[in-house]
Amino acid sequence: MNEEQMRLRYQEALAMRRPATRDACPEPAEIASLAAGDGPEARRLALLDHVMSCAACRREFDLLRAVDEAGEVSGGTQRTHPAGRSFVPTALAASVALAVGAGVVFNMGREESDVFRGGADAAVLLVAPTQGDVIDFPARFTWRTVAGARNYELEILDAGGNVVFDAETADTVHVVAATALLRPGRDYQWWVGVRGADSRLRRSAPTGFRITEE
Amino acid sequence: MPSPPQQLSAALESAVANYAGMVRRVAWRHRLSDADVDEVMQEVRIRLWRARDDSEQIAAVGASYVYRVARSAAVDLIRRRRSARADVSAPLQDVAAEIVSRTPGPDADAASSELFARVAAAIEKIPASRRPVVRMHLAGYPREEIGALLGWSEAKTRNLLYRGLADLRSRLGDMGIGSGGEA
Repeated sequence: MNEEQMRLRYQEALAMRRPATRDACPEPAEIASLAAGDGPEARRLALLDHVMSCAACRREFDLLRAVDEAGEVSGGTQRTHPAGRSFVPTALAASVALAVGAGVVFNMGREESDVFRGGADAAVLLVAPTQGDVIDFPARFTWRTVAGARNYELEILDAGGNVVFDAETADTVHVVAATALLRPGRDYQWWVGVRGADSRLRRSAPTGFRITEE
Repeated sequence: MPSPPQQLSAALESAVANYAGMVRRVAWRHRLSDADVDEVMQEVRIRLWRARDDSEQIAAVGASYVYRVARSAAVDLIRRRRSARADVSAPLQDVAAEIVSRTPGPDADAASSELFARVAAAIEKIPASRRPVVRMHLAGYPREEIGALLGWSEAKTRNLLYRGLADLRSRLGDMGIGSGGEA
């Protein structure tokens, strides 16, 4: 049995386990704080340890997390991406900036071995905005459909390669409302990842754009 | 007397509908049903309608107000369900039904249950700092989401997850469970 099979069997068994009593479960407000990423890390880890082993708490957590994530996407709330949260190492980010439009292939990491290609071989072809576009809010990001895709993951990165905005959608278009996370006059890059039936993440080549000045 | 939802201004209704759409798209990823989302958003509409005397201020606040109301409504919904000792929401039942339809039979159910018990016991033996990360991974959350929730960098998340999974594999190996071993 490989790891993926173990995960699947574990999820199946977890979904069917229901606590006889909720006495040991955290309060809804605590789960809400956990979903929002609030509170000391030690407390969040302890709460998460329970939530992820309790099917009832996990459903509540997922609902609250959905509310929070939608709030972030709609601009109704802002989750400060913590310093250091970077899915593109700084040195690589510089390479990304130079490689945009050049169809460069590069590796994102040892574990997933995601391969990124530009041009016709891209896993996801970005439609708009295109390289160098100056855009305003609400900003509409569109890309081509990928056959067999379960969902798409949109990410916007700043000049340092930090992810400043992300969203997951089953559509091939995502509208970004005005948000303080994307500042006027600044340059950003965006890309879209797609997860296929094998759950591997394949991303498009990044494309740069600028937010219009105020 | 018109129903509460019809009293919302067009602009505010648009904001609520847009937000509800976003919640559904995120909820889909976690296999939450539309029923849960619908119940929260209906409560949001009711609360906004009750506050219609301040409609100018509400409209000015927009997305942030809708979000705060939705968050409060979701917490209250969860409290009510717990208080009523309601059964878990439809999504769990739907998942269970789906599992039953996919599962070959009672032997597979017993096997999954036994595996879960062994995995759970092995998880309890790994360092506390890695346990929740491993649990989230086994529950199907992407690594990026784990890191975002905990406020960790990608590198820290990856390292703790890999070490935690290595610990888990070691513990399971001690129990005779592993690749090529007992399933």
